[in-house]
Amino acid sequence: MKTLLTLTLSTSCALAEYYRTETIPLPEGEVIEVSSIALMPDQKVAISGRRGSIWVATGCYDDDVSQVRWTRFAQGLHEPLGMHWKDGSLYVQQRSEYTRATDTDGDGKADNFENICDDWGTSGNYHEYVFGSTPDRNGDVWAILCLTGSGGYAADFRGWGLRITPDGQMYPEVSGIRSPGGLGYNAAGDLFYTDNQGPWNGSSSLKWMKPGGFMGSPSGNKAATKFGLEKPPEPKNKSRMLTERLKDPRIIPPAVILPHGRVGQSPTAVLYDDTKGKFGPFQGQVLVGEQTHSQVQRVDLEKVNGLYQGAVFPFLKGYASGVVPMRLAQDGTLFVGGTNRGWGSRGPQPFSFERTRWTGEIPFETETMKITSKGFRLTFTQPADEKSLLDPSSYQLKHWTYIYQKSYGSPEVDQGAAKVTGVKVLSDGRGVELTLDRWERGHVYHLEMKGVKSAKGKALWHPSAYYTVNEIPES
Amino acid sequence: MIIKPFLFVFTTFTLFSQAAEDGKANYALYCSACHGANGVGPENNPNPPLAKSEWLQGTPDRAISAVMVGLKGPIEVKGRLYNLIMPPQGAVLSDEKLASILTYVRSSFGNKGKKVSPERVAKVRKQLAGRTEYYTAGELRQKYPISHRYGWPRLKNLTSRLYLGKWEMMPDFSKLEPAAFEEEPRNLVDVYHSGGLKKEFGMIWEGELITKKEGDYNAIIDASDGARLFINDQLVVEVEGVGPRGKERARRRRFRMGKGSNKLRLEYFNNQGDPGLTFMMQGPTGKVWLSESRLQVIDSAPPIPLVAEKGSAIIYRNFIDGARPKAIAVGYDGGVNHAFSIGHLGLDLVWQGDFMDGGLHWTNRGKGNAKPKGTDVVKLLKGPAFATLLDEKQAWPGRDKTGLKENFGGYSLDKNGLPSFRYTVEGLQVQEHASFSSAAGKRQLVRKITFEGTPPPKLHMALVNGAEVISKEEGVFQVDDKISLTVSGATPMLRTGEGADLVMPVVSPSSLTITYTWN
Repeated sequence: MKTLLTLTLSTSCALAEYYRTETIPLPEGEVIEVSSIALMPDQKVAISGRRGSIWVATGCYDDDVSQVRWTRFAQGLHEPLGMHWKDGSLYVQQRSEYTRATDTDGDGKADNFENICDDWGTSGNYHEYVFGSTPDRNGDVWAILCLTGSGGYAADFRGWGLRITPDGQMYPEVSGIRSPGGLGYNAAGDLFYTDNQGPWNGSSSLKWMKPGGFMGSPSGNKAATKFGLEKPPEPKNKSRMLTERLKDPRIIPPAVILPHGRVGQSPTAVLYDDTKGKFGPFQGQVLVGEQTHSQVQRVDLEKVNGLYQGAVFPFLKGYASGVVPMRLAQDGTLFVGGTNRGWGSRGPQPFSFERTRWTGEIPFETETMKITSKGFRLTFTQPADEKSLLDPSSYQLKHWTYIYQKSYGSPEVDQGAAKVTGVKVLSDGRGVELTLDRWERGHVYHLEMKGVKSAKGKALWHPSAYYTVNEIPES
Repeated sequence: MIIKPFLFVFTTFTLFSQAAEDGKANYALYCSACHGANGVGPENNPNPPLAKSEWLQGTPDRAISAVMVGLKGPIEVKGRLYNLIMPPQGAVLSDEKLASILTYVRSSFGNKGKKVSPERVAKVRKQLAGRTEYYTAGELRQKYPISHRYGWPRLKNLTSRLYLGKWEMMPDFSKLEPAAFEEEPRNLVDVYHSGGLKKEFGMIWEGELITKKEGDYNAIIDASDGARLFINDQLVVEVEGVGPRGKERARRRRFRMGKGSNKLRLEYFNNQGDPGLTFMMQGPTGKVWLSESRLQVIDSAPPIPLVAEKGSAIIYRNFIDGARPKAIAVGYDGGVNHAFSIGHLGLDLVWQGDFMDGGLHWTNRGKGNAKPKGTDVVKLLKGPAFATLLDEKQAWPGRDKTGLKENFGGYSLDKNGLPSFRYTVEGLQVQEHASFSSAAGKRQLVRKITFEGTPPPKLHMALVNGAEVISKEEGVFQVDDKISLTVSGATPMLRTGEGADLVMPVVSPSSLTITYTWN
């Protein structure tokens, strides 16, 4: 009991030691269930609420957040779930419309709402959420459309990823979406979104929205017939993702499975750390929001044989509500918006707006996890204790996959344990190469490294990692 | 190097023979986010409590089934109505995991249920194999009845008599012959034991009301239509006459009862409409429902009135009852409102009085269409606002297939916050702006439309389609007997037939003013 208590205390202290989260007060008396965040010039920050308003704040970067001031920029929008600032306007992804909202007379309030694109359907079902991205490398934005009731198709392009050009042309590029929670880019500029556990999704995961790709759920395939598009794949029920995608390469397997229950239950926002070290030692990596567990996960991606894959690590926790939108500012401030209306969260507040900053202290943590032909190469943020690295019992590896099926979710199946048959310490002492006895392609590998210690004798901040093995490199 | 998949699956599987599952940890992981670490969660948690929930009493199969295939729709738990979806967890949770969770839940938070074995879970899993439908509360309850006997007082030796007839107040049953007599072994009052009658019947229940303690009790009755309760031959409480259940008619009365057996007689009649009778007792030993159906929870969503600021307008973009899904509702200070369909470029609805209430969409998941909050709602358009008519006899397209290329351009707000909508129909550019006015104490919505550019040939605009329109006075059109509509700058044609319409040819450039005046 005593050990447990110490452990709990040291974990939460550790979090505050490395990353500090503060509440940004919202305008008094207003209910703003934060649904999207946009960073604006002059250190202004805009947030939208699920009730359809947009608010702009000054002071969100200041040391004293009690001085934050809000003004209402707009009201009456339909549950915006994506927003960015460009050329003097806020671009807002509403449920039924992608809109440019502009303050033309400079009074701080939008007075012109221009419909850029609304060429998709909505049936009136509450679950038909639409999430919008920031512009991609070509200046286009992407909208991803949740299925009707999260499993059906009752309006045009439900379950599709749509590319929208600045002049409002819409191109359906990606099919097979079920119930997204957010989307964003990795450092290479490729687009990823999170999909939630349910039909055709054994677990929640981070998926690569490869143009032309199929994300797993055939419910939205009806759009292809109606609009004369190439018919997306019809995967076989109760199969495995690996089996099906080898039959039809248009099926893009989840890049990183976020094992249901173990690392969350409802993944949301996607972004990558482009702060060049201002947000700690994980630059270039992807952060994923988690609504149910009120957390932020960290993802290290790599591309192997043309497909993305990688590892997810537990990262930040203890947010006040269910984490939905996030934005990372260039100065290393992570803005985190929360809501738990309709879907419970560990964080007890109905809504919240917070910021997290790196304290400058580097945690002893796995920095990267990459696959090799025979195992994994891990690097750590600080020099590790060689003896602990060389001890094969420092590492436990289990792996499993999920049934690829129409019914809701999947148990973990086809479980196995991999044996570490070789350990090689990297020359700088800050990493290790593990050789495994064998591979099971298509599986999530859960690596537990309780035995690994830093040169100063510290355990890893988070000793767990989950790596999704879609492909194995030749050598 | 790629090893063939699945080669080792079966040999390695046994390595993971289930270690003892930790129910508390599994509950924390899979359930606590919604149902709370303490089985209740935060205040006003939209997810039902598990602490002392009647749904966890008795057989564990009810809970196993709900977790296994999911539960959808309204459910009453501990006297409160909930309406969310419990996603199915059968595929995720092994028999061992689910058994551990339910064992934990049934023995925690004040619950006192027996242990649930993995074998029991496996048995239910087998029964439900292949089922993809979610359970509804009603179906689950029917399959695994919930004993109401978790409180006192209780009914005993309950019987019912059925009478046929149509009354507007409680009849003198002593002068009537019963059509049926039933024993009620569940000892609950249930109007659906009328043999399936939906109207024009009466019932009497008689039995013993057993109390554990002497003291003051409250009897609460809500009925559609009338009901009255006698305890020990004394009239205790009565719901009189005809009317639907709800706050207005529900009655509560305090009275004193001794310990032990008390004589109960409950009379009821239904004239027409949905039969319903709820009966609750509160006393020194807590509260208990003695009817199969329970109090309707009315207005479980708190009201969130949406009100325009003085001289301004408020916009609500959401799903509105009677309007099409892509609609923008605007409420003008002064008490006139409309819903503009951006998919069909016309006014779907106009109404007066209060604008909208955010309560439906802004609590829980926000399911369904919100009704306009005001009165005298008129649905103006069934079909599109614009279509080409080759001749004036051609029927207005009932649905949205006009083949016209239409585009909603957006809206701007004037200095008072009143919107101007802009859109195109082929080469025609349209601007419209509405505002509040009044004449002779009647509210008016004044809508100004400007046409520019080149419309397609024979383009017509419908102001009304599919509603009742009559014209008793030149140029004044009564719609649905609620508003009168006048147009200046154009002359609409009233066309009668199946669903009247009011249409006019589009002339460009031109401007016109349409005035909607509430009667």
